[in-house]
Amino acid sequence: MLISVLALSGFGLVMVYSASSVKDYQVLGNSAYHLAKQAQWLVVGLLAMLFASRLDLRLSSRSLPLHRDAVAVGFAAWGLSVAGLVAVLAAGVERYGAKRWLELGGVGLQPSEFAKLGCVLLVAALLAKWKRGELGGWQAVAQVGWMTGLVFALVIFQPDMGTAVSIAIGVFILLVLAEVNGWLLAGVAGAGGLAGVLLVFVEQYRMDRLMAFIDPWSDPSDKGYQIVQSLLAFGSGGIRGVGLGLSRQKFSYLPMAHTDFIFAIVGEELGLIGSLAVVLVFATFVVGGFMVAIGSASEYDRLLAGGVTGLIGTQAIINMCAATGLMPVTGIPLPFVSYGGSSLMLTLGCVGLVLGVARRAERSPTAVRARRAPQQPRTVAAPRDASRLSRKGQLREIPVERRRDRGAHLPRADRRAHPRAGRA
Amino acid sequence: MRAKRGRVRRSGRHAFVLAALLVAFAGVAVRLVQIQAVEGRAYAAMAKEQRDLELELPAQRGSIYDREGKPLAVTTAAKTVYAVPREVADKAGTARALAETLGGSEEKYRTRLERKSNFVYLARRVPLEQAQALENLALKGIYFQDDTRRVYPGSSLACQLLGFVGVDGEGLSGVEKQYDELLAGKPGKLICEKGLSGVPIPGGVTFREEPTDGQNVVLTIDADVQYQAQVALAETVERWKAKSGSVVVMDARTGAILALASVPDFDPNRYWEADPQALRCRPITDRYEPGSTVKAVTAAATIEKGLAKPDTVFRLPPTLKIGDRTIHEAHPRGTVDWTLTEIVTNSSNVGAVKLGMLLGPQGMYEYLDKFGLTERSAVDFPGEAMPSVPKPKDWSATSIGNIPFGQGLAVTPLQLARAIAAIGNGGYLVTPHVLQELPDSPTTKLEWPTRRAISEKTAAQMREVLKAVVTEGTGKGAAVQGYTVAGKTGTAQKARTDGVRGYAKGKYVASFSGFLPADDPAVVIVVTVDEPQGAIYGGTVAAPAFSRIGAFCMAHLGIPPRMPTVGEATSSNESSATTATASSQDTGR
Repeated sequence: MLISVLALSGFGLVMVYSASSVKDYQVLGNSAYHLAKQAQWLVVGLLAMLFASRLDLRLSSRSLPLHRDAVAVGFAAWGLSVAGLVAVLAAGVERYGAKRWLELGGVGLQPSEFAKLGCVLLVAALLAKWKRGELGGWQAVAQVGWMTGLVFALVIFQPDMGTAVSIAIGVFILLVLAEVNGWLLAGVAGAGGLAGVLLVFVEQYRMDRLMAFIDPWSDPSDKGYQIVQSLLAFGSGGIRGVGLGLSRQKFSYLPMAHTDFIFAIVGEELGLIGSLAVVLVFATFVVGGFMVAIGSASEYDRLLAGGVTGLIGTQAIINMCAATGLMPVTGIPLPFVSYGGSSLMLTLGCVGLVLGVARRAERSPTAVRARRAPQQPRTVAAPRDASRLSRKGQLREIPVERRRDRGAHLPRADRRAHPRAGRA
Repeated sequence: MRAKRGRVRRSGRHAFVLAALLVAFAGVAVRLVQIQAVEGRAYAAMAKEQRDLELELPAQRGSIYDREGKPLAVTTAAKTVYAVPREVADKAGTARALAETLGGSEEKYRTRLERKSNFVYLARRVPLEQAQALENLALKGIYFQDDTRRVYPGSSLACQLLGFVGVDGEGLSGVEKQYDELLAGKPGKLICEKGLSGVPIPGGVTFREEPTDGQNVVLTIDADVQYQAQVALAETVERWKAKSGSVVVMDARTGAILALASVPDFDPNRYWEADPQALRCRPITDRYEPGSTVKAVTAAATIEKGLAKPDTVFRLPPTLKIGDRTIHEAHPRGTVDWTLTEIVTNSSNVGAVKLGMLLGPQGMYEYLDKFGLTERSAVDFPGEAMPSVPKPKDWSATSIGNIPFGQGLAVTPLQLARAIAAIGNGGYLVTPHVLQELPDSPTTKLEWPTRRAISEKTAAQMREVLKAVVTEGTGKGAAVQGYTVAGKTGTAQKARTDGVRGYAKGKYVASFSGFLPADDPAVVIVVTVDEPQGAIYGGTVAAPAFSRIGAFCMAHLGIPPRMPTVGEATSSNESSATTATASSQDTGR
């Protein structure tokens, strides 16, 4: 999983450069402007990932230091999100017709990106508490409902339908994973769908986007323009692609080539081979993330890893579907790959949380039991090992026989998280 | 193991969500295969289509020179200004700045900048200084493109003759149009891929063909003669408050045109501001009823056919009744016995009709034809008018009563000059032309065919007759100090333009057509003045301009003067006072 993340991020850096260099050169005279910014954010993001993976979050009735109490952290993250969103509404910077950015010391931040993580952290904690029986059913529903509802409303108000939808889907995934009653799920899904329909009808541009999705060719020069240009980019790529850096569509035909539609540029430059590879890597990431979740030590970890992975996976799917004309355009970046500092940093932070879950799993009784199994050779899965995963060289020290285990079909990073790996 | 069962059950939900996500990824993958592999080619073709930009690599247009190598039309570097309206934030301010630097209305620029497109032309072929001034303002969204600009250094010099070039570089009139193919060259072609704003994509050139520059063209025009002709004509037109006027100066032996002048004129550097009337190259495109000048043709035909000699005497009544019409003289007189020469020098209408009746309609038409007055002269210039001369079978009963003195038919001044040149050059009809040589294609042979109109002998006899017009007859005003001049006046009524048959009262075309030196003419000159006020006679209105242009030509071409004897100049057998005013007036009433 970690490899797929690093691969995607590095790849994203290359693609951001490729997709943005033309416009940067034309507008700013510096073709590497976005590359440099994205690289800085990538470093920040990797640090965030490292930090998040070290967080020892757990749900406990015993009193814990605040930074380790999942509920406290969830509330804190949620509170920060709401504060950020309110700040955006009050003093945000408007770009592309939406108020989503907060300028802080010359750096543009998108609190709505942070809000996604905040919601997942909070809801995972609340649901875990509910599962433990520490929170009544209706209490949980009410808390989850109003707290995510507030964030959702604030984000919608920016307006940022795409992020709002991914928050909703992320929370919904958490509800599913937490084995909430099927009827309730259906109700939530139904209400969400209804709200979505209403939101589409309220704003003309959403309606336009929907119509453009249904038939982009009816107005290929205006409303259907993005989809059509995106399809042309994919088509131009064919099977083998036109070659890295040689996209033609990025020459101002395809808007948002380095952000929302970067996948189209991938398709054009690297062809079907490249675009399928990206899909495959994302699938690998999602599988890895869920393996961590399934093999995790606590209910909270299980929800956290599943929710975070689901959130990122859903965003990737929404973005890819929009770019390929399978869904209306929503303006969600492709995780790891698209340009966007807040998004990249937060996504990597999320990955860090999942890595943290994996780390805790290593120390959990099941994992310990697995390690003690006599037929197994001594593993390198020492407690600190998960953190070392971020250092690439460490992976090579894994004994050769480990690779033949039942987790061998998985990316290396996931093997230790594989619940059955040790039980074979 | 409850815990285990529980985990399996809980893992079910995880597996379910994971499976759902994987199905979605699989869906994306299928879609990718569809749009990239299955439908990919169609999309790629559309993308290519929106991208491909065929650029013309302009060829440098050839220059036009006069016979002495003076540049008449040249191509210089210029800039074309265009805008990408999306990038122009301050439309009003930009429009104002454009209007200030480039001229033109602010409104025009504003509407263009507000257009919903990625590319609009603001001004084509702007002089470099103007473009530089604009560039210095560094306006957003305004771009420059290298271009060329046609410049006519002499401004109105030979303007109608040279013509002008349109915004797309195509010759629209005059020589620019006639020799457009030679001048234009062959533009090269560049097929490249362009971005949305029209800027070519680096490394996206797919095809390149170099342009072939246009050829230079050297004309028979003599810039100095042209200048004199234009000045003399302009002054004449102004002096007589005429509507318009034209001058042809042509080498009588070769048909090489030295000058073609028309008034009013214009500046081809700013042709779009010109009055359409000023664009006409009148000696070639405008027909008029030539009037008495045709008497020279009638007389020549009579001599050539052996029906009379220059000294054959005709008894002429004061008026002559042909059909239902009566032919009058311009100046009433009694019955006289005049020689053929005197009929021409005094420009007698009755006499001309008498000669015409001798020839008959067939004979008259035959010689109009032989003198080239029934066809286009085949001059290498666009838009030559076809003469309007009725065929004998279409002649009415009265046609023989006006065609012999030049009414009831219409020709262009150039066609007339060609006919008069035939008398001057020994009887052959030349092909008028303006192209002297093509220095860039020396192997091209330029041929200007000639054909015989009348015998050398008849031509020589007619030269004497036409000399007498200037020495003794209606054309004294055309005399040039030191040279013998031969010619014929013309004072023709203009046909009514309101649809009624007949002639417009008080509207005349005064002309003088002649050549000099009379015995070995270097140039034939035709001056016509349309609707002069105050005087109407060719001898009064047009002859002085002829004289002035003729004198300049002699000096400029270095033709030594041959002083006529004093006796010749004064041996008029009529009172000079009478002849001076006894110019022809052609009666069509």
